[in-house]
Amino acid sequence: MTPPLLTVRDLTHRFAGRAEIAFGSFTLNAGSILLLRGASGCGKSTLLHLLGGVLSIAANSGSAVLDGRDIAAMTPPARDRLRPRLAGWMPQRQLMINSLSVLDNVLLPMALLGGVNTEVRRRATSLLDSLAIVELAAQRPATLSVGQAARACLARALLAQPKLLLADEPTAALDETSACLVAEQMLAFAATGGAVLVSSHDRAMRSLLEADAVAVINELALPR
Amino acid sequence: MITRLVFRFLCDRPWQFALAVTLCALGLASAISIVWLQSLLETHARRQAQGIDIVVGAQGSALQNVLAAVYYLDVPNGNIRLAEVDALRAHPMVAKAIPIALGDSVAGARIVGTTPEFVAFYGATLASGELPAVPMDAAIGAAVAARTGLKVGDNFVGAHGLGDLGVDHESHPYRVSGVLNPTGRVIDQTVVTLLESVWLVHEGHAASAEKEATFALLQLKSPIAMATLPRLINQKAGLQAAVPAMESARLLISFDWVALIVKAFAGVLIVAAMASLLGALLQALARQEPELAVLRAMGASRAQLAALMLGESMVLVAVSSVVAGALTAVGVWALQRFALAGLLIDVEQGFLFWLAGLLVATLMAIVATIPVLWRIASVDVAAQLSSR
Repeated sequence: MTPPLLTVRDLTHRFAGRAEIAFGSFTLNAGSILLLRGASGCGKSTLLHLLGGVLSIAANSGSAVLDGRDIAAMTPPARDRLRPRLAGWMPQRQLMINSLSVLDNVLLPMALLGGVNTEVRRRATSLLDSLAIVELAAQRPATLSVGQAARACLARALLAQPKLLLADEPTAALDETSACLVAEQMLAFAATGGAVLVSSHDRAMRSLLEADAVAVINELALPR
Repeated sequence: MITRLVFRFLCDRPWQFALAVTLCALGLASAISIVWLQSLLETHARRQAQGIDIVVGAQGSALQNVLAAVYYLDVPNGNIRLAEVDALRAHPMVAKAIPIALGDSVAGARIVGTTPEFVAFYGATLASGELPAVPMDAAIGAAVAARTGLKVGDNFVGAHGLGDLGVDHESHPYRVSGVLNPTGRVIDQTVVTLLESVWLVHEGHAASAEKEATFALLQLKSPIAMATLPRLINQKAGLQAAVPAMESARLLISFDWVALIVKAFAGVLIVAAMASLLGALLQALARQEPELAVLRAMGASRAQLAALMLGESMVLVAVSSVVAGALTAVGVWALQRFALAGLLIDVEQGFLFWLAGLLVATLMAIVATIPVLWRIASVDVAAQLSSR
């Protein structure tokens, strides 16, 4: 039996001067989608930040093993190397580098690795095409709408063909068309063997994912 | 990618970049100019005294005699008998003894009555005309010719002293017999005539009928003579031997603190330039924090972000240094063109000072970037990526 891509055990996190957040234990297999639910402030984004290696997992605060690697035991530079090949990240804020074109922003994770070649460029264009923003490739991010920017951020997260996609409120404030395109792309990613961890308080997110579900979709409700 | 981002980030805020470059370049250019000019002026001063081992003049201040005879910056202590100059010329330790008679000026330039070897002594050659062969003929230095517009065949009259006494010798006009080529030495700033011209103009003014000169410029046959001859000359009544090298050194030593202040000021200017660089980087960082967080989220290491910031400061320093080099070159050229015509510009030395300035600026830019790097290390990526 194939081991889970992600195994989280008794994971907790405490911000200075605040109550501890308990994420419990769960697993995520390749080809599946886990929808994180919970009220605002319950720690959905924090869990993604811990798994993406942006926040450190403190000692005795549980464990998170991604593709056989214990994130809690990793040094900060090793955690940096998690991204973008192992964990692609679509942050809550659709932030991009404004002095680069949309295409260059999508290519950014591979460019930082020094791995931009014709094949990578072709893949970037293909991702933009599947998200219906290929005609915006040469534009600056400042000219994009919120929905277009979200789609560009998703393309950027998927470019390095990670094993896990971490998506933080991917459809928040998006119009229906953009939300559908984002959900379709996530499903397509899961269908090719990727795992998706989505944090969302968008009620429509689950139905969007289930409408054309080819992946196993589970839900984890975080306590307040 | 980091290199590309460095230029993209800088091009994205052209006015801020231009302002930072302007401030850095002005600071650097001022610092380099100050140090370079100080060196050029010292070299210039030394060149004027080159070849003159001893100045013999009337008793008084040795420094005043040197300033009057070598730099034409002061009034002489008095006159000496021409017979004394002839005696010195015949001395076995003396290679050359050139008499000069001062007293008058034209347009602020000293009229120097002397012998024909004076022109050769300063290495001057004729640009036009000929050297004075008869009394009241004069060859004018290149800077005087440029300033006054006098040319061969023109006439002029000398004014008593440095022209501040309001007495002109209108009954004794000079004729320009030749114009000298520039030499970068003090002769460029003078009008050269025969000793007899000065005697003729001042006929009846002299205290005695005996022929006199103001100074004798001595070149010795060997360095050993330097140890004994000044003492021998000083033993003679009414004569004083001054060694230009020693007097200049004494003068420079007494102004050592000025040189120190000038260098400290240059240092302050470089520090101010680097402070403006730090200000520009911190201001840019405040705007770029979200973008830096994106880079971190996309896998950029802290080292890559540090390289990005260091790259920005290095580009700023490099562009500022080029601009500073151009400003310094133009400034020194303008100074030579409009104020110090005899100043010889040592381009190679200027380039070395520029390189030193670039090195200091680079090191200081690295130091100035440290607070920025510290700020980068503390950028809260999670907060930047989550907040709306």
